[in-house]
Amino acid sequence: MTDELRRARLIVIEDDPDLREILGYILEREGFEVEIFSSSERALERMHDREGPLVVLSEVMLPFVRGEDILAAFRNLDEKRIGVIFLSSRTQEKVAVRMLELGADDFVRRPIYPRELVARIRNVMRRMK
Amino acid sequence: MAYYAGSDPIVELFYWIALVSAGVSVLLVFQILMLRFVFMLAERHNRRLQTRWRSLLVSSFSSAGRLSALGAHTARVILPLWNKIFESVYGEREREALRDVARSIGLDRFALKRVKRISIRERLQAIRALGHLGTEEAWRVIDELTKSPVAIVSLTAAESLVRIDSERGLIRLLDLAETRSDWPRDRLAGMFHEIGADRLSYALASRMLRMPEEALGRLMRLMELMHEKDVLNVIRIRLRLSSNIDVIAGAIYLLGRIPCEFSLKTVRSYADHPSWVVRNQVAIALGRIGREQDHKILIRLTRDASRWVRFRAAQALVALPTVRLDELKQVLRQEDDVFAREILWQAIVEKESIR
Amino acid sequence: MSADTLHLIEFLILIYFVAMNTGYLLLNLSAAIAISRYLDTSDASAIPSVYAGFELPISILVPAYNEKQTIVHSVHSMLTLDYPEFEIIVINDGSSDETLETLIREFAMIEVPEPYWKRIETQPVRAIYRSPKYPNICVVDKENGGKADALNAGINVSRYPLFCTVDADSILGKHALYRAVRPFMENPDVVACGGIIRAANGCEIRVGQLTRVGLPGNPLILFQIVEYLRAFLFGRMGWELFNSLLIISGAFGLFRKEVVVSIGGYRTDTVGEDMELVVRIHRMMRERKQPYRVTFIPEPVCWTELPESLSVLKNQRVRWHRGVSESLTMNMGLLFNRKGGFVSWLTFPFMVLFEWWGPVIEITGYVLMLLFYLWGMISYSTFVVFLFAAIALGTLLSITALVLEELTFNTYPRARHVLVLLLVAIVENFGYRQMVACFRLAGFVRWLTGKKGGWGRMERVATWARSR
Repeated sequence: MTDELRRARLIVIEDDPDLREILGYILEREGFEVEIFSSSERALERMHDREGPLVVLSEVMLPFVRGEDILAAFRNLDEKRIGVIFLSSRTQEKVAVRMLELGADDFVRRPIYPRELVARIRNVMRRMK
Repeated sequence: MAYYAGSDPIVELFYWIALVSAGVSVLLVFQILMLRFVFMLAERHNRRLQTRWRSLLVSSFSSAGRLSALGAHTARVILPLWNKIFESVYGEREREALRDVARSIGLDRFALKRVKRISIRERLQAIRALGHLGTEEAWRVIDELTKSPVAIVSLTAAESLVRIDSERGLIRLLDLAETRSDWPRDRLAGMFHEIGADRLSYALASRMLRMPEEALGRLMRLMELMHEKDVLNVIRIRLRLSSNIDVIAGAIYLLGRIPCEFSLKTVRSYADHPSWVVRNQVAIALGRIGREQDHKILIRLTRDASRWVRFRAAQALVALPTVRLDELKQVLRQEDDVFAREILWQAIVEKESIR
Repeated sequence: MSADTLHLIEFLILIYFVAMNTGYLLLNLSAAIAISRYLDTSDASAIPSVYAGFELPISILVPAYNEKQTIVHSVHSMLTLDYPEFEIIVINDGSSDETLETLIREFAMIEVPEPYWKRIETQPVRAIYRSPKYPNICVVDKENGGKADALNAGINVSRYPLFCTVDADSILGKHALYRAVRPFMENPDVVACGGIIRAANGCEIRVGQLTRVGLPGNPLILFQIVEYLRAFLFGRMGWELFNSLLIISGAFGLFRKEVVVSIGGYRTDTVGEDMELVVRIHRMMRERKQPYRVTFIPEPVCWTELPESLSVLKNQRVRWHRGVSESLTMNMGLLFNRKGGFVSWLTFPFMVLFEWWGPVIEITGYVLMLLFYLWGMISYSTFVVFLFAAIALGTLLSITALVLEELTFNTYPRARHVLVLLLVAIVENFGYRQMVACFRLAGFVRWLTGKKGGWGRMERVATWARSR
């Protein structure tokens, strides 16, 4: 992994505590700089004074917001330097595909396959450069 | 009984009823308070356990540390957590690590004991865990549970059998899928999906060639999860002789997803089937795989007696890449049938303004 | 009046009170069995680990009459429901405010020339709107015809095999549809499914979704909360065990469309269209000798705003009781029907005796005892003993409901909540229940004198909408 890639930070938005733990562990193990939030609101609050490239990995069906709104919120912050990847269960795939149509960078299915997840995140980071 | 002096038996009865209810109420109030107290203590304790074990289990992904066997109480709290984490991660390396941890803390033995519990909830957790762990000693017990009259228990048991021994398990699963009409189809589909078309397809297809019509009709839609070659094979052999609506409608649904000459020919030949359910599927299928010569059939179906068929046919027409909207408007102008006209008009307007 | 007659009356009153309360206690017991059975199997089945594409798609019907304040929020909130395939059909029942315009503006709706398929007779539909931005929203604009008529129009327009009725101000839980659809997936005989309705008052609600459960300060609401537990949860769940549930609230109910269409949809000549439909489903299915099941999931699926003022509460109860009266009288054929089974021989008579005629007999009992006392026919102590018995039995019932709640759901998270509810469960027997009985009596009288009512209007404060 190049230094450039290493510097891109990763934001994870996940409402389930078990998945938070799993995602945090796997991503840190791979050397990402990860910040984990339980809601998109919390994550967005912390975004205002941030700079630099960023990848957001978010659950597509969070309790209080639609995927569309998460996507739009991060896109509004910075069009080019924020990548958005959604996590979806098999039953939410339709929603995830719609997010792709609306311009999300990728989506990842649950259950998580760690190698796939990491590869997809790296791809998005590479494309953002 | 200071103020009560009467000797009227009815009044006395009133009095005793009142006294007993009041007494029981007071007892129940204490019970509620006790329950809440115990509940809160247990809750706090369990939460702590879960937080601790969540990170212990997850960090075992790369380095399985030494953990000692758990007590029954802790195991009871950890088992569902372990199941959930196991089911959230797909990586073989992580799963193997989780299995190691489970064995070292004795979750497998604990689950074996729990499998015979009366509580369905606990039993299900145990069955799932034994499946994930691939505990061979559990085969007999779990196989017995596939006969459970509770659909979710037998389904979960079958799922675990497949995980313990994929070959033998698949045979059992397919036996059961054929006979258990109470199994929710979506869950069965989930299991088939996990097994994967490569292992499932041929085994299921060869059974479908000879299973009773009723079972075939029920399982038809699940063929979506099989290889096209096997699907076509089953349809070729079974459809010709079948008069079962589920079988026919299911076959046409599937053919609509497999574009080929055989599909087209077969689908077209059912356009005049007496059942609207079948004609409805014909309209949907032609909307996906239809060619230019199918426009005629679809236009005819917009005059169908069933509203659903008319609707689907009109939607299919505007969805076909071979159809041009101005052509369709031309058709509309010449159409005599009021129903066909309005349903087509709707489809055209929707296509133009909405999609 | 002779002493014997007096005795007889006293005796009858005693029997009635004891029978009623014992009946409800037994219901609580059967509810406990049904609930524990449900909870036991629901753990695994609540997880949507299923394969997509096999769920039954659902049409959500939202009848709206002058709802411009709340409707947009409600629809937004429904859009965040976690379910793979559903459509939201808002039926504007000839509102006199800008309900329709608000919807058109917010969701960029466009009028489409969709032919209206009148499977059930309704008032004329003026237009049908759909949206390019939100393909699963549909707005039906029709002439005013009442809530039942609006629901029928929604059924006519809907495209999916199941429909879900909700009130415009209901807040559905994120997984409500998943949970309510389970019984339909697991048993093809299920034709209707209700769920627990809880009070949204006092809870924290953000963007149309419930974020934290709480209790309001208003005592009137607290009384209703205990009442919801006692009557609307355990009362209903108890009948579910015997497949004889007669009421599914209009605030949330999932139905198999073809069955409802086949019995003619909602009746427009009653104020209790939600209950009447369910009673009629029982009657028709029994008559046709078709296997069927009306079920109920003891899971809070829907949160609704309870009336905060006495006058609104009174109107609501008067209307409900008229609804009960009409629903039962319109389906009298079910009573002691040879083919009727449990519903005909136990539930229906129970409903007639204790729900429909309940307030009449109860209030008569109270009044008679008071008169006897005032006329000097019974002693002060007898009178007090009577009151004591009535109140103690009622308290026992309220407390049992709380025990059940504690054993099963623990909805209210804090110890303080439990203490408050306990207190309320006791206090409600000193006045609140009698007051509600009076409201219901008024509803009974209103039914007797037979005036037809339109939409049950509830002043919406829409406090939750403001906190967005």
